[in-house]
Parts: sequence; structure tokens; C-alpha cells
Amino acid sequence: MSSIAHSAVRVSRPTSLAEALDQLADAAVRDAPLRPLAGGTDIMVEANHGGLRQRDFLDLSGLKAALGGFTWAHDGSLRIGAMCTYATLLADARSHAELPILMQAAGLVGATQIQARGTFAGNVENGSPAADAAPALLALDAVVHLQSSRGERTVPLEAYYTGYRSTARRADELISALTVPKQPGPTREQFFRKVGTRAFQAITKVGLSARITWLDDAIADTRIVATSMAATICRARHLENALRGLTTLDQATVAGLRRAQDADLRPLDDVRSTAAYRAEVFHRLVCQAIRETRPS
Amino acid sequence: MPDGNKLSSDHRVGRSIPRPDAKDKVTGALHYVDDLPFDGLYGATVRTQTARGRITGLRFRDGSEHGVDWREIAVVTAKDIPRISKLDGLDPNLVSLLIRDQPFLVRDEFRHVGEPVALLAHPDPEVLRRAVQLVEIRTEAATAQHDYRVPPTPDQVQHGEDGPDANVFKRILVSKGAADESAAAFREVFDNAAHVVAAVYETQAQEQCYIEPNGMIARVEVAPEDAEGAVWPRKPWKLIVEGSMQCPYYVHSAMTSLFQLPDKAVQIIQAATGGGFGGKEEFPSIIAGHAGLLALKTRRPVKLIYDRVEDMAASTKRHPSHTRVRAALDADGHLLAIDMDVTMDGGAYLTLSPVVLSRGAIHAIGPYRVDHVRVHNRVTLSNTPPHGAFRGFGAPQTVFAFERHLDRCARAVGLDPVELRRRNLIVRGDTLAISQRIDEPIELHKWMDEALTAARYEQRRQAHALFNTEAEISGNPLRRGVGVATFMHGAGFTGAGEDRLASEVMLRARVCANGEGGVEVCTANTEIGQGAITVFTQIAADALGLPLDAISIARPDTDQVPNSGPTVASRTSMVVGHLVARASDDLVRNLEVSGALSDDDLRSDPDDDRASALSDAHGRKYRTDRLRRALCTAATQESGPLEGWATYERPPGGQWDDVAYKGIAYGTFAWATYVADVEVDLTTFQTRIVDFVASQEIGRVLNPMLAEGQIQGGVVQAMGWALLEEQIYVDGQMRNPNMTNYVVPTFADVPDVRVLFQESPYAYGPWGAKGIGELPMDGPAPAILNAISSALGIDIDALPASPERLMRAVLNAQAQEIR
Ligand SMILES: Cc1cc2nc3c(=O)[nH]c(=O)nc-3n(C[C@H](O)[C@H](O)[C@H](O)COP(=O)(O)OP(=O)(O)OC[C@H]3O[C@@H](n4cnc5c(N)ncnc54)[C@H](O)[C@@H]3O)c2cc1C
Repeated sequence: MSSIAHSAVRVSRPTSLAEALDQLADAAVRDAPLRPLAGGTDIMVEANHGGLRQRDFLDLSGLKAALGGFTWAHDGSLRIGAMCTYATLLADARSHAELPILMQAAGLVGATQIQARGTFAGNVENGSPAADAAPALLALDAVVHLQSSRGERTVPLEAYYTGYRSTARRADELISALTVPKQPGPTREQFFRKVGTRAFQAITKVGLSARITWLDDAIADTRIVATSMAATICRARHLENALRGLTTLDQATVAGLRRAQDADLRPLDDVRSTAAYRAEVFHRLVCQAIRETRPS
Repeated sequence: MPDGNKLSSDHRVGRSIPRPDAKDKVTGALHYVDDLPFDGLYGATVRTQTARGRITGLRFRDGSEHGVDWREIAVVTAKDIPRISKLDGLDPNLVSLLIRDQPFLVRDEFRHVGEPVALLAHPDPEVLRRAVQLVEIRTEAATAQHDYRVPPTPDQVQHGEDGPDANVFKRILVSKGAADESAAAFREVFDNAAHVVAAVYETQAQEQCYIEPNGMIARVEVAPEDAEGAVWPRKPWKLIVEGSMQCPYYVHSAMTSLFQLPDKAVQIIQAATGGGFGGKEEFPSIIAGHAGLLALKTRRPVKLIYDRVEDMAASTKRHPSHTRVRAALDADGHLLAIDMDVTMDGGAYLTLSPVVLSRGAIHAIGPYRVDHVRVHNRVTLSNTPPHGAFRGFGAPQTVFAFERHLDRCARAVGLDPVELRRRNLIVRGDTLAISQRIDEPIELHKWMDEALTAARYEQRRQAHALFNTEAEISGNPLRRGVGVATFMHGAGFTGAGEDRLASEVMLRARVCANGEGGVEVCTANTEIGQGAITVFTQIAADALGLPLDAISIARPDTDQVPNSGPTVASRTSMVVGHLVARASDDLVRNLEVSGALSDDDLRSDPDDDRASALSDAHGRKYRTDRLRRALCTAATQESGPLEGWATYERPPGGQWDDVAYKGIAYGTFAWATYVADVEVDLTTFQTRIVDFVASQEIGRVLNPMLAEGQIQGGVVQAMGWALLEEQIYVDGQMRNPNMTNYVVPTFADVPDVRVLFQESPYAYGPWGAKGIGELPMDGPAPAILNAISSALGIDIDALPASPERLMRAVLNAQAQEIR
């Protein structure tokens, strides 16, 4: 029995972006914000658990023309519309060729049914520390496009999360798109591994999304993004610093990496796993990423 | 009854005939209880939130802000149930099962989180959901027992007197040889053994995870003169309950006891049921009682459906277990003696725990010859929801401990685990630990070899040893291992259990839609996804020599079908199927007696199976067209349709002694060897099952596709238990009662399970069939854990072998090496 079926839930379904933005602005002024509804795959879970905080929705399904799909720009960046589903992008060969970790992440969200409805924007906005697509986007330096009746602004994904499940989005703003810039190096430098509770339909217990840039035999630059290791998905800055200049994985460097990681990330025990497991496995994933991204 | 190894091509038995119920299930046309047309009230349950205490009061908080008006909500508490039954003088509020200790509704003392305290009914389920939140249960706390393994402190005693048996629901001792003589004689066997190997094994609870959660609809029919009756009505009235269940007659007896009604005043109907696995054996009686109480109070039909969270948090699970094993072996690896201490966690009430413990005890030492045995078993109380029936019913726990232990023994002796098993498997004429002599023609060694060959056990073992050595050197994080379990499972109720059930089956002549004669098979055994409808159809069709579409299976409805016992214990095909075949013979005999069939109707060509009834104990075969005509006449006769009956008769052989725990526990066993091949990734400590062979001797494969599905389903369920599934309790409260965090495997988590059958027909099963429902739950966990232990070179002795557990084991082993 879903509680949503029996209690007052109001849904408006604008047919143009302008209309949607006006409704958002109106509601925000009245201090009764509308909640955007994309694929609904996060929202329905909340509803089913009886925990819907807000009951006024802005259904985006009428805006597929304006917000759906994706485009590759001349500069080689990928623009993912807010209503673009995982399934849509998973059908794109160029995304697989250039952004393999985003495709790996997308292919591991839920399973086929969820991938047919779920959106990248919804994943980003939902702000779960266990999200799969958002950390891959973060490792790829993605940018969030926010639109309101006042205009558009962009926020780097890196600065988007302000705390546990809270984002930089204002009540009158809609995510219109996410853009992923052209990647500086070869795809070999991208690394993604989700450690879930099972193979599919799994919440990530610990995950690593990374981009490791090598110059000759040393690491020049990195993005090390941790999943389920903190209140939000996040970059591990001490670890990134410790990695810069690294050439080999001897015992001392490995120990140093673990110390740096512990300065960045203090995971928790919960019903899905333990802090000890998360820390140990994240560390092992980082070592695996170094081995696998190194030029041969 | 035809037996022998070969079936002619005309048989429906032995073929993968499609399930008659498949189309409606696949298209969604079938109505489960929540889909039934319904005009009535919804019910909801208010439950305790702490593990133990006394209720001092209930407060119904003002709900005006939430749209809850208490004047519109019907409320039932234990106060609505009389304290003394007019029928038997007992407290009708206590569920009638083995003993009566579990209340339908808490009167004052409670023993677990989620115990039902009050029932609410209202037309709008959303209002109800909010109303439940508004009921405040005031309690006085008492000290809960959270660890079933340790003896209770005096203030934790809730069952029995303070002392060694405090909180012990049941003890069972299996003993044999020197253990029967004296403790000293038994000790001496160990003192003189070349090897003594000891270890402790643990298994966790498991949720049945049927796809359809529990649900019931109850309504009362009240005689007109009583329509304005008191709260507790005067007779005559009738209670009708329809819902998701395995055992209509269990629910029936629970309802006659709760409502103090004669048998005829209670009607229980099974609705289409989306899986049970034991979870709908005893537990549905409580929901039926709750729905009935609300229906009685409101005089309206009441529907009580659990959502997944409530179902997982409140219903029964598999018993957790803790087992200490000590084995004495000679220098060649022959088992001389086994000393075993099994403790199972019964949860807060006794429910079916003694019977679960019994099956665990009887299966503990498996198909091995051991002359001196002592298995001490007990099931104890802890303050969680009661643990109850679940596929395997105690056997998976003890089989896990014993089969893991055999691998440890093999290492101590210096033998391959398979060789150790080979040296100890029984042969025909040997006796099991319970002193049951196995006289059927078993060939366990050969059957085990067939499994090993199919699994390429030897090649894998050698390849893995090489792979692991190289991986260690090269820094490859993968480790590989192969593991085996050899075991057995007895079908049907234990010992004299089937005699006590005295199951009855009835077949009735009927007219089919096309106007021709046919039969209706009436049993209380339920289709719960396992294929009971299909198998009964095949058996009746072959027994009578009728086409499949001449057979229909009656809906289990206690007003319509005889009590053929519960749908549990792997008994439906073997025990009840046999009765279906015998009742078919009885029907033919009655047709003869009534004159509807005569010698003129006998088939003329003795080889023409096609035109004849295949059945008949008395060697007479009739032409199908004549039989159908006779059935047609017999269906429409004035005195009502002609019937054929069969009642359970115990196969010849010995008795079971329930005190000494010796004798014929089961008429027969199914025998199996399972082989698991695994790969563990030391980066994440996740285990991938690469290959799985499940090989078993099951008497006769009645329907190959269903049998294979039954084995594969059971194996996958056991794989979940072995690797993933775990209830997380904090202070007796389950913290992960949902499919997100209680993790069962998906198809992507399991390999294609390869199933092999051997057939050595059993004389008292239909066409030789033995029960197979539970068997596949027993072997996978030890086979998989043996494989993992072999891959890691570390003994993993507790379930589940989660990545977290494997990580701790690997890091501990490394730390010890450094020290
Ligand atoms: C069975 C199941 C399995 C799942 N498995 C995974 C998994 O493996 N990995 C994973 O990461 N997630 C998983 N999820 C969660 C979910 O599917 C993803 O997060 C998905 O990407 C959410 O997208 P959506 O379009 O459905 O979002 P919605 O549910 O519609 O919205 C999610 C949030 O984003 C907001 N939002 C949506 N669109 C916009 C917009 N354009 N502008 C502003 N705000 C917006 C909504 O208001 C809401 O707060 C799973 C969910 C289910 C039900």
C-alpha cells in the first residue's frame, strides 16, 4: 500500500520550461516550494517509506523536449539534459568511448527498469552519499546548470553539495542540464568501481570514481571521489595530494596513502556495512586504480 | 501401483507438462488475496516497540490534526477475547500449536518487538496508517534475553523454572554405540583416536522472502436472530477466512480454538499464494485470527495485508544456530565418533521449535557411518519474534556444521575432502546415527562420483591450487576454490507424524466443460509456486488413464476438501501424491461396484496403453472412452458424485522411538552431492560463485522442469543464506526489514545451477517419487563455505560469508602470521 495513493499530493504538470520556472518562482515566494519530479525513482522510495516531506510536486514529464536527451558540443563537451535517462545515454557509443566510467556507473544504477526511468539530474539532486552516477560525474569535472525565471547560473559539481542531502540549488531553480567537459587524457586514466550489496539493485557500500593523470612515470593530477565514505560524495583532497608525484606502490607509500585517506574520510558503521570494511576496501580500490591507470 | 524404472511414452508422469496455473500467473489474471474484489474495512496492527515488558496502558492520542477520528475506528484488544474457552477451558487468546504460549494479542506481558497489541479497522488504509502511529503503548520494561547461546540470569527467565532448563524450549539427545553405554566409554573412543578435531559453527536467521507478503480477508456470517448480538456473539455464526497460506487446516484449528467454534462454523479458503517456504506454515493463523477478531467486532469483512516491512519485521524466520562439533578419526580418516552440541534460537515463543530441532538432530550426521554418536540438541528462548518453519526446517543448520567439519577433518588427516567422505559414506545395510538401517538400494559413492565428474572437481582442484600460488606471487587479488557437501533429506513428517496426521484424499467424478467425464482431485495441499497442481494432475491422469484436461484440482477450502495434511516437509508430491494415486484406484473400484464399469469396458488389446487406464492395483485396465462415460454417469447420479478415497497407511518397516530418538525416522531419504566453485576477490572480499552442480537421487522425477526449478530455486535461496542474507537486530529490533537492506540474491549474483538427477524408485511414493522441496536448501551453504575456505586457506565457520566477515578473517590471519 503506498501512502501516496491515499493522501493529498498535488502535482502540476507544466508543458513549457518557462511555465515550469514561473510555477517554481511563485511557489518559492509563497514559501511553499514545489518539488521537481523527474523519473520519480528516488521520490517513490521516500513515499513508500511514508517519509515524503513535501507533497507539492512539479512533474517534469511534459518537458522532455526541452530537457530530455543529450548533445555533444563542438568543444567536445557532453551536455546531459535534466530529463535524460540512463538508458538514453547508455545507447550512445561516443559516451562509452570517451566517458567509460560514466557509462559503467549508469549501467550499475539499480537494474534495467530503474535505468529506463532514472535521470542523471535526479541522481545529482537527490544528494545521496551512496549515489553512483554523481561521483563519476564529479571525477569527470562535471558542471551543474541551474535555471530560474531570473536566468541561468552554473555551479561546478565539486561545489554543489553543501551538506548531507543538501545542495546549492535554490527553491526557484531547476537543474536544466549537466555538462561534462572534454577529458584531458586517455580513457585509461578513468577508474570506476562500485562495491554494492549485490550485483544489481544494490546500494553502494563503498565506491571509487577516479581520474588519474600520469606524466611519464609519475602521477601528475588526480580526482579521487569517494562514495559512501562521508555525508556526501566527495573528493579526498589529502589523498589527491599524496598521490601527486607518486611513481611506485611500495609498502611505505601504501601506508602513506592510507594515512592520507584517513585524514579525508571517516566512514561509518550502518546496516549495510562497517566502517572498517569501507576504509580498508576503499584503500584497496585506490591501489587498484593506480595499478590499472598506469601507462604500460 | 506401477513401479520399476521405466515409464512408457504414454505416461504424463516423468514429462515436463506445462503448469495448468502458469498462464493466469504470467498474465496477471490470477487474483491474490489483495487483488480479490473486496468491499469492507482494512485492518492494521499496533505492535510493541521494545523487546520485553508489561503493558500498563494504551493511549489513543488525539488525531484531529491527522484526519483521524477515533469514533470511526474499530479497536480490538486482548480484552475482547474471553480468558477461558468454553470448549476446552484453556485461554483462547493463546495460539493453539504444539503448546499454547503465544498470544494473538498481548494481554499484559510481551516478549518481543513487534508483538501485536491492538487491532484497528477503518475503510481508508491511509487513515489507519496514521492511526497506528497515534496509539501509545505504555509499558514497564523487563530484562530481555538477547543472546540465545548463554544461560539466562534469573530476571530473564520466561520459560520453565530457573535452573539448567530455564528458557530451554526443548532438548533432544541422539546417541549411539559407546555413548549409549556410558560417558566414560564414549570418552575412551576419543582418547584412543588418532585424530580429534573440534570447532564451532554458526548460522544466522533467514527471511523466507516469498514474493507475496502475508494477507487475509475474514468475514462472519451471523444468523439473523443474532445480528444485533453482544460484542462476543452468541452462536450460531460462521467465520470465513480467505488468504495466503500453506496449511488451511492449521488455520482452521487455530480459528476454532480462538473463537470457540465447532469445526463446521469455520471455513478456511486458500487464495492464490505467492510463495511460502515455511513462512506461511504456522504464522498465517495469527493474521487470520486478527482479521477474524476485527470482522467479528465490526460485522464487516476485514482485509489485513502486511506490507514488506511489517512482514519482515513481525513474521517468523529461520532459527539461528550455534554448533560445537568434535570428531574422532582413525589414522586413515574413518570417523570413529562424533560429539555434537547444537543450540538453536527459538525466539520468544515455542511455536514449532521442537520439531525444527528434531529434524536438525536427525540430519546432523548425514549419510555417514559413525558407530559412536552423541548429539545434544536444545532450542532456547530469546526476545526476538519467534523463529519458525523455513524450507529445510533445522537440517540446513546441522548439515552446515557437519559438512564444514568434514573438510576440517580431512585437512587434519591429510586427505582430500572428497576422499574423506568416500571413506565414510554409508552403503546399503548400514545404519544412520539415529540407528535407522538403510535397506533401500543406495549407491552413494557412485552418485557422488557422478556429481564430481559433472563438476570436473579434480581438474578444478588442481587448477585452482596452481592459480592461487601464481596469484599470490603476481599480486593478482583473485583466489579460487572448490567445495563439496554430501547430505540427505527425509521427506514427510518425522517418525509417527504421518500416522498422527492420517491424511485423507478424495477424488470425485465430474463432468468436464466438453460434456465428457473427468475427475476432481480434492486435497488440502496448496499450490504455493512449487507446482502441486501440475504434479497432482499428472499423477491422477496417469493413475486413471485419462487425458490431462479431464483432471481438475479443487481449491483448498476446508468446506470442500478433506484434510490431507499441511503443505510442508517435502510431503506433497511423495505422501499426498501417493494418496492421489491410491484414491484414483478407489474411484475405479467404486465405479466397478456401482456397475458403471464392467468387463465389457476393459481394453481389448493388452498392449494398447493409449486406449486404457494405466492405473489399477488389481490389474484391470479400462478403455478411456468407457471410463469417461462411466465417470460422467457417476458424476450426475442422484446421490451426488461418486467419490474415491485414500487414507494414509504407514509403509511396512520399523517404528520410531521418540524418547530414545532411534528407529525409522523417515520412510526414505533423498541423497545428494553438491559442488561449488568460487572465486574470492581480495580487493573487495566479495565471493562469486562460478559454477554449481546439484546432483541428487530423488526416486522418480515426476516433472523434469518443475523438479529442476525446485532444485535451482532452493539452491539460490541457500546461496543467499550462505553469502548475503543477514537480519540485523539492535535490542531485539530488526533494523533492515526491507528488500534494500536485507539482501537476497538477484539472477546476476548466481551462476546457472546445473542439476542432475538419479532415480531409484521408492515403493511408497507415486511412481517411486521422493520429496525434494527442502533438500536443495541443505547443501549449498557448506559446499560454498568449503570452497571459500579452500580458496583462502582459512576456515570460515559462520554464515553469511559476507565480504565484511571474510575481510576480518583474512586480516586476522595476516596479523597472526606477522606475530
Ligand atoms: C530499485 C531502485 C534501485 C536504485 N538503485 C540505484 C543505484 O544503484 N544507484 C544510484 O545511484 N541510485 C539508485 N537508485 C536511486 C535513483 O534511481 C537514482 O538516484 C535516479 O537517478 C534518480 O533519478 P529520478 O529521475 O528518478 O529522480 P526523482 O526521484 O524524480 O528525483 C530525485 C530528486 O531529484 C530532484 N530532481 C529531479 N530532477 C530535478 C531537476 N531537473 N531539477 C531539480 N531537482 C530535480 C527531485 O526533486 C528529487 O529530490 C535506485 C532507486 C530504486 C527505486
